[in-house]
Amino acid sequence: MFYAVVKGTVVSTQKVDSLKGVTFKVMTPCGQNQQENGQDFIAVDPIGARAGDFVMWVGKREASMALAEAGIKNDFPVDAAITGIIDDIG
Amino acid sequence: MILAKVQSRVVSTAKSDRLPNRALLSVAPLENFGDPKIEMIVIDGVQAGPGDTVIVIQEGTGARQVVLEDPNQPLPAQMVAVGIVDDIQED
Repeated sequence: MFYAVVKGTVVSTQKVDSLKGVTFKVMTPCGQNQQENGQDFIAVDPIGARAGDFVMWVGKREASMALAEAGIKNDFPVDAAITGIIDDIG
Repeated sequence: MILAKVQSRVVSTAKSDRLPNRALLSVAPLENFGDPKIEMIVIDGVQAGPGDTVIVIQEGTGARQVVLEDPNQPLPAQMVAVGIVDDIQED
């Protein structure tokens, strides 16, 4: 998993059926001190993070598995997912 | 697999209930294995701690085998520390 800071929520009404009810967030990738280290991207958010939250996320095919309805097959057309809000590093 | 340096432990209360109840480690790849600025969070499979150099797998199927009782269950993670490096010998 990697670090990112949540920038905001993407509102999308018209989307593929399997993504109905799924929330998307704009993410800025960063290191453990929250220093930015790459370009923004979009991730699905099954956790309920808010703008400004420091989070961890997973990419590639395992992103689908962060969604509660997904099995180990790649059931959802997503490539990044928030997996947790980080309280502390120490 | 890559080698990475463990920097610290990561605390997350609001996390996916599909992640196992195991320690999370903040690691940075060693320079020859990736960009040290791209720090990563790995699941601890070997009880490593800050300062250790660890072997990290980056593949979901292997991660499920190490971390889950039933590897057919979903795991939203790929990276697991699977070994602590004692020494690297240049022969």
